[in-house]
Amino acid sequence: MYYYAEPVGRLIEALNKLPGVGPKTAQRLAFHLLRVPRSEAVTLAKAIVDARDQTSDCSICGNMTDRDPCRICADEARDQAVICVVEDARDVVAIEKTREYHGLYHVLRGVLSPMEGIGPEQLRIRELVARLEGSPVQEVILATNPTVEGEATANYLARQIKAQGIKVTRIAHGLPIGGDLEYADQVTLWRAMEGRREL
Amino acid sequence: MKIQRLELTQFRNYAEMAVDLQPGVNIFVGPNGQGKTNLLEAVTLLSGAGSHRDAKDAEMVKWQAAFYRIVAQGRPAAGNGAATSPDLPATTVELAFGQQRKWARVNGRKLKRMNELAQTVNTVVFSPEDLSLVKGSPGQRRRFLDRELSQASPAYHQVLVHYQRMLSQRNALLKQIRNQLAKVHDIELWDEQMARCGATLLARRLDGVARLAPKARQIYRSLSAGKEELEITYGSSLPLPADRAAWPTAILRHWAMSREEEILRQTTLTGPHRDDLNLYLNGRDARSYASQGQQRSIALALKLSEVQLIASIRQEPPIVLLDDVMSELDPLRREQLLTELNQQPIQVIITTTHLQALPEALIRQSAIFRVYEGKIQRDPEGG
Repeated sequence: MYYYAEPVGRLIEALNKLPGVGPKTAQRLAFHLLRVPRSEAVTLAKAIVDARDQTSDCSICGNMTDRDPCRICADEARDQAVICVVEDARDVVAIEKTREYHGLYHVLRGVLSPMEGIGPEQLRIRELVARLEGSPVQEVILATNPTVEGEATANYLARQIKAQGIKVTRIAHGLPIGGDLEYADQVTLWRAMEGRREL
Repeated sequence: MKIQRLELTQFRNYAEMAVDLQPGVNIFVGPNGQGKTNLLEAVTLLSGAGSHRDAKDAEMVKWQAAFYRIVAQGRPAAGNGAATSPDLPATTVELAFGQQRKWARVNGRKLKRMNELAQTVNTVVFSPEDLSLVKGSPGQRRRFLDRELSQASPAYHQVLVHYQRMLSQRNALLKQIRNQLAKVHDIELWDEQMARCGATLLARRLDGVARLAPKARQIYRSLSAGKEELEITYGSSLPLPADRAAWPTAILRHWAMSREEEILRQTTLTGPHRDDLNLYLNGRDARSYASQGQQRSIALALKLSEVQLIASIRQEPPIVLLDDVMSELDPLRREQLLTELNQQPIQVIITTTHLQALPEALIRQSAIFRVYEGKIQRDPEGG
């Protein structure tokens, strides 16, 4: 049976491998790309290659960057006494968007998960410990996700960092602002109850 | 809620099926393998619990079909024992699975989690396998308790899932420690949160058993004509101090003490996942001493107390599903079961291969449906 010209088939297959893209979306995207002006398709292809070639991981924090050290690590105006530890480069973006945090970051690139064979050695923990050694950092904020794995990772880090004599804090978890108690996730609600405080 | 109309699309052996149920007893008759249990399974899925046969969603899609869909229309029962209230608006519950995804809607509102369905539909299934609840494995009795508590409170289900996730991670880590791929003290990273979660689970289970036990004792007393006393206690695999606030610490201490053995065996040896329900008849352990008949009565008492417990917590009795279980009970127990179910306005769905297995009086007041090759037809014979 004849479906697509061979190069189109290859394009669909490649698009289909992207996260969140199923066979139908892949087909739609491919046909779209075939119809747009050639320059637009080339721009996209070049953007993909450039993004790959021109970014690397910051040698200090591990965040994705186009120069080393990254803009955040190089910015002297930022508070050098606080480091926020996150799982993923995307979390840096999320926190930066709030414009409320002015310290530095450290990207772990994952969380502990014995089931998947991910131990402390597979994460950028050694780099963090080395980075803190003799640094002016006074507080490390642990902002791993409030999952089973994120908690375990935070516990691990807390132990390591406290041994270095640095203050360790964990971001709070609870109800979303503007949310409705009735629709809150049950475990979230339970944890929020656990973490209640006196007014 | 009580189901007034049930529609199945490409579910198991049903291509397209709709059936109107009555608020009282509904009997589905037909030879084996025609789809009676499939129908009950569809109703249990609507309560957010998994399949009572532990089937995967993909297995429940009709052969060569792409999805299944279950829709039920019904009315919430008004409290105070009134039957369904016609003044309350009808509720539509919809559950579908296709392309590896499952979603549920109640009155058009999409639910975030399947277990939220339990806030609308509750079910209690009684199938022949439940008759071995007494002599069966501790896992079977834990599942009984977990299923019931999950329906009574969706939060319980989530805490349970959370705990099981930690358990899998912890066991994987124990394996790695045994093979010297991880350090012994890494286990502490998981223990602290797991102990807290486990303590919550234990507290909920103990409270659940405390509410269940007197109900079951009373039902059993009437089943045995006052001759025997059934006692149910929660059998924890961990020593628990009286002060509940001290449980997480107690659990941690116990795990720390058994660490060497746990590493050797590569598994978590104690905790809520290893607990049991203790059953005693006149002070003797029913798991080892109860006769065949006594076992059946205990199973019956447990199930009926579950019905009562859910009814009192949710202020509405659950839909009771009796899967081919009538023929397994002797006339006396059958009578007791029906009397018990008649005390409240409960919607009951019974499956059976032969109508003769059921009491005359019951047949007269029930709606009867014939099930044959995935098709259902109402039989005018019933009430």
